[in-house]
Amino acid sequence: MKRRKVIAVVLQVIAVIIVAGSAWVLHYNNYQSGEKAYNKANYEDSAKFQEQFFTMAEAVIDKIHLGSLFETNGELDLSKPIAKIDRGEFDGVKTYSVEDFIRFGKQIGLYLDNNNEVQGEGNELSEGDSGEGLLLWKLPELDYNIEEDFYYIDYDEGAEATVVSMGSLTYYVLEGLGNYYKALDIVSVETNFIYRLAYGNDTGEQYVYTNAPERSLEEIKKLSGKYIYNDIHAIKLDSNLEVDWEPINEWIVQNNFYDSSAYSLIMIVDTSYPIKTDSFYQSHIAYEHGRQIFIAGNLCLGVGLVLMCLTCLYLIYVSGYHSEDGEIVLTRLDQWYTEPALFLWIAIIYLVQKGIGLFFNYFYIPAIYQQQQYTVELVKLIAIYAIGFVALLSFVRRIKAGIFWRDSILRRAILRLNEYLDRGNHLVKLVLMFLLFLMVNAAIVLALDQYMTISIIAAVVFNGYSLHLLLQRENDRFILKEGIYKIAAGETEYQFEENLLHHQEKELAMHLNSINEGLKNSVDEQTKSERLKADLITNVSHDIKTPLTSIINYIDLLKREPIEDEKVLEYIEVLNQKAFRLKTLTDDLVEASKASSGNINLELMDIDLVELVNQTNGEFEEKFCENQLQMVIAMPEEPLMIRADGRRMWRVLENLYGNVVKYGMKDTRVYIEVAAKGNNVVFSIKNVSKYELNIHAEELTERFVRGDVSRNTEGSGLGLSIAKNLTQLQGGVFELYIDGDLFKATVIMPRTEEIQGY
Amino acid sequence: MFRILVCDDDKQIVEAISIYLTSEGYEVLKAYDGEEALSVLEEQEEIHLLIIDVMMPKLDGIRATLKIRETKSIPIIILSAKSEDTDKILGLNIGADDYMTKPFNPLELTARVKSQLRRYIELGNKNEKTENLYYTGGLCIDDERKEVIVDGELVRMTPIEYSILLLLTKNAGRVFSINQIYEEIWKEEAVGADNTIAVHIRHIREKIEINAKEPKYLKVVWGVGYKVEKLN
Repeated sequence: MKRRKVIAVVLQVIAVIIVAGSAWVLHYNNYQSGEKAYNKANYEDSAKFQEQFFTMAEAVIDKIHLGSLFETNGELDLSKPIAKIDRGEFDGVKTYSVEDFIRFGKQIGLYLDNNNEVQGEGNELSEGDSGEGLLLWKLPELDYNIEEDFYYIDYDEGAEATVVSMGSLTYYVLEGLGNYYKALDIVSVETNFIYRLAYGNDTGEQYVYTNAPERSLEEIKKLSGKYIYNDIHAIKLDSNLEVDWEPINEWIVQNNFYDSSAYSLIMIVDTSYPIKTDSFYQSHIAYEHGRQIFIAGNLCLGVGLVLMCLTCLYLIYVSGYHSEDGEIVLTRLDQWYTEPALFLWIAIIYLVQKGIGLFFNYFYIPAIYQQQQYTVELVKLIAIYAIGFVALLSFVRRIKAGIFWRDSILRRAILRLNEYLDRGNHLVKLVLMFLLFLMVNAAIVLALDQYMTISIIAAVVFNGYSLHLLLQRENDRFILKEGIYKIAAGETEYQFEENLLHHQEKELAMHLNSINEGLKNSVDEQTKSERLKADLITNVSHDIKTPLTSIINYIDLLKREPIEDEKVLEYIEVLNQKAFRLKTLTDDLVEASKASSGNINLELMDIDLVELVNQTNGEFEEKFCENQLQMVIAMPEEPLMIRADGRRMWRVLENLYGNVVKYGMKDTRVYIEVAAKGNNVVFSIKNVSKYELNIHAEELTERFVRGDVSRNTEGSGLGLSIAKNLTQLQGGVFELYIDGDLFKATVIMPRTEEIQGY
Repeated sequence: MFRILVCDDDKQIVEAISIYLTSEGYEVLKAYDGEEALSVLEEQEEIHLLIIDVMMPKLDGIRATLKIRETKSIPIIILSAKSEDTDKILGLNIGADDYMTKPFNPLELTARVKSQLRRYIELGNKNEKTENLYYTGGLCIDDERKEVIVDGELVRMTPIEYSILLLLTKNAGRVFSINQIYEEIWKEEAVGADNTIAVHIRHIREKIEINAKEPKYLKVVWGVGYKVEKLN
């Protein structure tokens, strides 16, 4: 892995060098020519060629034009008289030749320098010299426009001559001469540029300006190359160049000094380049050369860039891995917080950049100063790229390791801020958010002027997003509401889909889910334990009853055996009683436990308590008689309906009556009363106790508590407890009242309406 | 000589029951689980009554009863420690003729056995008379002769008791309140609270039921009235 990385890095360095080198070469190749300099395959098609042609053409025109002023018979003639000026007292009338003007110029401080430019102010006039003169005559070719004069001239109408300023006239002449020299320089070399300007008249061609006098027009026309051609017959210019030649054309037409009716102009560059020393050919060669460099350079650049990209991508891809499928490994610097690292890198880049600039300044080499600019920039760029790329890789690693955002100071700041806000009053938070909203919108409105498009976009995005947040919250609340209703209705299985909700609502949903789950669990557990309890009771009672059956049976069998021994009989009797007691106890136990845990299915019906008491009285009539207990009954004639389970109610009464039989004093009265009291029906039974009751009433209804009685009685001690539970289960009230030997039991049940007939 | 099969996984109980029954003159066969009971019924000579427990290994009493009822209609008494109403209802619904809970009174068991056997034999000797004959289950009232026969045995009743029982049996399944009974019998409006009817009911019950505490025919609907159960 490491080797591959190293290879990639090396390749990237090579690529960068190629790219930089190509760029550098291309830059200087195109230098001063612009990027499109080498667009065309041929030099002759390029813009530079056009320029060169133009320059040459202009020079030719200039030479022709100015030549008409300064030449005699095609040769420069400085002594050619140009103007005749009357300078009055100062100099008299004099015919000035070019030389004269040159001399005069020197006097007043105007001269031509080495570059054929006019220098000086031309105002060093001698004392008393007005600098003006009367122009008596000038060469027609001296195209001096009086109105362009520097100095203000009085145009004296009627005068045969105009007043001119010597200074400006001299300036004009010198300027023309300078231009002539310049043109001459260009035109008089041996060149592949051939021109022929001919003015003809009725008699044939007379005035020909050409640099190829040995060739006729036709011959010239036959040459292959880039040309322009025009003659008076042509409607428009004929050329295989791509430039606008109108100005030249115009000039030719305008400057038809000979006033001839026919003219022809041809300018052509012979692209077979017979002459190897001229500028065209040089340019041609240079162009070829340059173009090759251009192509090669671009190719290299392209390859270099591709290579750079590939290696870049590869390095980004493997950055951070030290082995195949390994974990991300971070350098020390990678582990810094994001922002400081970022600043560090930026600082480094800045410093390096400055350093390079200073370096080059220090090692200033004047000769390549201009080129140096580009080189300096290039080196800076390379440096920035190198450092930047390393920095990028660092951040790529961070992203891969997931710590880019996680370890950013900004994020921590936001979290901390959120924390503070969370702790703070949530109303304050709401107000702050609203203010923020207002501020952003205000900023957008203010910026609307200057940055209209951006502001509008920002406004739409920001407000749209805010609206989205609001709607989202509302929607979440709605989902929560629906879910809560369901849970309240008892759907313990319901769970919120947390992924549909956001922020606070998501939290709420998560909590609600766990609440509901807890609810469901406890309901399930409750049901389970209920079932277990119910099963327990039945199972235990069953397990007790089975052996008990055998005991009772065998005791009974024993009783049937013919046994004489009194003691044995007594023992058997005891066993019998106890066994029977066990049986009662077991039955009572089951019943008591069911009654107290509410594990009974009540079949509630509308029953008549009066009827029930009558039935019970009937049941116990005999037993009461046997124990000399006299019933005193007080009951209404009409029915008193209660909503209860008949059998269970009978059980309660049976228990109470049974107690009277068991514990009531013989030969006493038992008062039984049923009456309606308000919304209730009240049953009460009062009797005198056989034994001392030194227990509180409440205690008696506790399980297994019996009065302080002898041991031989039958009761299990559960009776009153069962009676009380059964009463309560049916929605009634069970009360005991003890006063001395008086024992009173009361059962109060809510009254219901009678149902007619049965 | 009636042959009775006793089936219970508790050997001592089987032994005890067997002693009681043989002392009454019955022949007793024994089995200790449902499968054994089935095979005994198959192989042995005719058996007239089955006493079977519910909680047994291999095949429990309920399933055994179902199986037996596919082919035989002999009287089956279920004897079980499961005393809940649901258990009783289940047992009786699946085809048992009687359901007794443990611990039991051996005398009661014997009495029920006798009653069931009588009924079983009686079914073969049914009389044709249907008029003035009201019966439900083993209780039969011949209104012509003013006789009350329970499981073939004549039971002596007082006139009032007879009237009450006739009323209830004629309308077997219907509940009559004390006042209603009074009005029917004495043809007068019931005046004041009266528990004489209740006492009469009690006496009737003592007379016709094997176990007055768990009546088969004359039942109390507490808080509503009394009825005679409609049995087929």
